[in-house]
Amino acid sequence: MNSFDGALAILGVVMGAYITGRADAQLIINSGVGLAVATGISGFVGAFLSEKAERSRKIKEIEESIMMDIKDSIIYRASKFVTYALALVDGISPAVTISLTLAPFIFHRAYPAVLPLQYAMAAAIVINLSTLALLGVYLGKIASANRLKYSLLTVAMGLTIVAILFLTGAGV
Amino acid sequence: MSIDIKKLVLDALKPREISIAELSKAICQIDGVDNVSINVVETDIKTETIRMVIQGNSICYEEVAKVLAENSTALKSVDEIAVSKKITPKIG
Repeated sequence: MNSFDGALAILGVVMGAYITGRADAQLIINSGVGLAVATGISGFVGAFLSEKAERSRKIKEIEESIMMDIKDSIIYRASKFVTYALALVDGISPAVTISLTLAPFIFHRAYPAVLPLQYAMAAAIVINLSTLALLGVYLGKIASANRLKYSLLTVAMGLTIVAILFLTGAGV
Repeated sequence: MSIDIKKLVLDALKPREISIAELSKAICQIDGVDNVSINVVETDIKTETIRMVIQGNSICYEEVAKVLAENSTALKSVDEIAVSKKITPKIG
């Protein structure tokens, strides 16, 4: 879910820069990197603390039910490993979706003649909405539900952000 | 002369997260163990009481207890044990 957060947050950054009318690729890239670091740390710490609390409770329940300390057991070691692994995935995943959206701006910085800023902006939004659509498909898959429905829902979230920023930006 | 444990019948309590298939395989991997059979005697919401019959040429009790602990299984009692003595004839 953190990749979803990252995708929506970077869409906000890109759209925010776009509606100012003075968008700068370097500024968007720097903001995006800052966002990736912040959401990454937030995702890691948040997932780590919640997973650790949840799994510690589970371990305590098992210990109480069998009246034995299980610190040397496979369950305990697996639980510890999963806590770190999930936190790491939650920490890295927003950086992945943010990087995908930032890719056109990085390309624009390297080859401004090939990809002008306006096209880079459009490409970034298309990539971002496609990422949201794929995340929707994935969510639909793990929920064993209609993938298209989930996909449309996640894209609708992105379009809602675009619409809100356009509307509020017009009033600024 | 050596005295070896040939059979152990154990009563133990394990969390339901641990499957008897995995537990029996883990015990069977111990050197000197040839056969393992596990019966679920009682099922609770979170736990299962099991009866294990372990047979082999030379069962190391400490090793069995260690594997049980690794698999979050509490040993309640040793209900049956069979040992045998092997006398090595002296040559000369």
